[in-house]
Amino acid sequence: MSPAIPLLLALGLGLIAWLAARSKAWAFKRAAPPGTRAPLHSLPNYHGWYVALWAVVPAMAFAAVWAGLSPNLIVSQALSDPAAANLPTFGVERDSIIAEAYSAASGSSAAAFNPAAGALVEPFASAIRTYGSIGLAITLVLGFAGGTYAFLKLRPEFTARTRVERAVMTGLLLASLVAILTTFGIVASLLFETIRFFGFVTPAEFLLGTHWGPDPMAAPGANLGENYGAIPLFWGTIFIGAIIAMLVAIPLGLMSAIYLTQYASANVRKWMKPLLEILAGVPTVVYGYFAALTVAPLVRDAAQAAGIASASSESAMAAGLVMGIMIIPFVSSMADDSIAAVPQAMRDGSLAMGATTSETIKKVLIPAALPGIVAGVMLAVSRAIGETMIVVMAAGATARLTANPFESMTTVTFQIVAMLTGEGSFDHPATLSAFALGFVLFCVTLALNFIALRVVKRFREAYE
Amino acid sequence: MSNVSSARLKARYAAERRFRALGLTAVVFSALVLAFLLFTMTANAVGGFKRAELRFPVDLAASGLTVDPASLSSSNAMAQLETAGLPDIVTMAAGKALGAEAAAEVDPQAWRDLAANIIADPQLMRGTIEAELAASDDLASALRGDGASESLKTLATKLEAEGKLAQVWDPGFLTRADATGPQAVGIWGGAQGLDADHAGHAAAGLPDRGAGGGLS
Repeated sequence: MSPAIPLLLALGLGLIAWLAARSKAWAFKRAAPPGTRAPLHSLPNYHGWYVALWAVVPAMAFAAVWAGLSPNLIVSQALSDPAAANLPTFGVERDSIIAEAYSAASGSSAAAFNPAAGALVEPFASAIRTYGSIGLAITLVLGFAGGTYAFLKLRPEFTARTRVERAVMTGLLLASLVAILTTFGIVASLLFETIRFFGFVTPAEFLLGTHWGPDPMAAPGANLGENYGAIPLFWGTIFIGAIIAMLVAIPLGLMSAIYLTQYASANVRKWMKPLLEILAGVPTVVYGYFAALTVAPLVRDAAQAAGIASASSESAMAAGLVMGIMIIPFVSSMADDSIAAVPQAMRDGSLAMGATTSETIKKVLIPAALPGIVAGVMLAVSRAIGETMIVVMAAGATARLTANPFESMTTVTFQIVAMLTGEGSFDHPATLSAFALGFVLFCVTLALNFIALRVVKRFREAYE
Repeated sequence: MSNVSSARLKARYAAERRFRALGLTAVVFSALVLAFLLFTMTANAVGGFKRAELRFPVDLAASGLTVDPASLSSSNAMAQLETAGLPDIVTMAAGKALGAEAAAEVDPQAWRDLAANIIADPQLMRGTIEAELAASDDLASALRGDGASESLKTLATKLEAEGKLAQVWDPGFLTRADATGPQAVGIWGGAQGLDADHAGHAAAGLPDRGAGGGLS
């Protein structure tokens, strides 16, 4: 029997309950003496919705629970049948026979081909029928009971509207909880795997060690921690995402924002602002091969021409430059907003006292808009250190502690990709290290976002 | 106005102009980088939509291709044409029109394009088709001027001068699903694979670890 049937029945019950309760409420209204105001607390529709909710929600909830519960009950009943006595006692073969018989009995496959499964089809079919009718009966009874209970409570002065609105509020709350709980789920899964990882490698070794060379093939041995020092990864991430990329993005983004808000004519602004925002809309994988195939060779040739022999064709410089270009719009749009939010009176006052436009910008607008600009930069940094495709393609895989931007360097995100692709075991520290890295990245990004939000909040209070 | 204050004013106005120019430079530079990015990507991408094709006539009427046009509407039409010797007919026609050396450089699977044309319009079997078939990967790279041997490059130059070999737009790039060679490559399978990959994992009972996509 299809799981949709109890659902449809519950809905049908709800419709009947709605109609019945509404007509009962209308009857209250008609019973009022003519000429007086109707004594109803709520409109008849709300009485209808109240009873319909009572008829549908418990029945639906049961049907959902039953759909999850009944397969186990069906299997255990079918296996108590004598035909199941000669099944293999455990293992894959037993499971596959049971699955085959179940799908044949429920009609999702045409027939069971394995004779052992064929013998089980009939017990399964009868179990499915039994539990199907039990589920249907309980659904109906619950629907009736709920509907009757609510129906009997209806009085002219009954506060149906308040209760229906409370139910709607609860529904909205549950919907928002889905998003919140998902976040908690993500954090919890990261946290648990990280704790498992710290069972192999101590946090001190992980956070302070300077050699990164996990071997997913090696058996976990005694001096495992030596290979899981993540400092080179953190350094690579900060060097590429927070230093090189910001050296590109902050001047370009800030100056673009200043020019477009203070100097450019309305027409130029109308065209250039969306054009710059395209930079944030290019897929990161396209930036990735732009960095790897076009920028990286240019950077290497330029560095070698300048006499740096160690320049590699995968370099922190190439990845950082392209990443900086990518986040120009993040910096510029936040700076744009916060400069535009500085009160016009401050700007006018400065100009009226004889300051040039650039002096006004440097001495008045930027200091006033600084919190917003800083927040924009922090959001851009958190975006840059979480960026993956560009560094995977252009920065290289070698974990190296160096300040030379022309050498290859690796980042936290790249190592997460490297540890989690392929067929690594989820019990091996190399795979688990990806979760620890992800957890650190998550904490840093969260902290940056948190600080940015706090800074923005203070800034808003200053001028309102 | 004294000389001192006018000099100071001059300096202030110069700073104003410098600052303004700096802002303009930032905007223009960002726009130029975007233009450079889009230009490089487009220039590199155009090559993907083109492939080297050989052009030669195939006289199907005289070739003795014995297939009943009526039976070509069935689903095994491609197999029928293969059994009837269409691949050999194509090779022979290429040998006659282009010379033995060039005939060896017709893509071994290219006859399928011709077969698809015949299946779509069986009347073609009564006449001569001007076939435009994919060249082999080696000849294609010789035409692009990279990789291949000197003799192939000479051949490619000669054929190109005769108008028998050219880089042409290949709309099939969007509809094929093949990754076995540069000449037969297509992205349709990849586009489908955006969800087929997940379905495949689910069907095989494997944990879905996003092997295909979604890295960033």
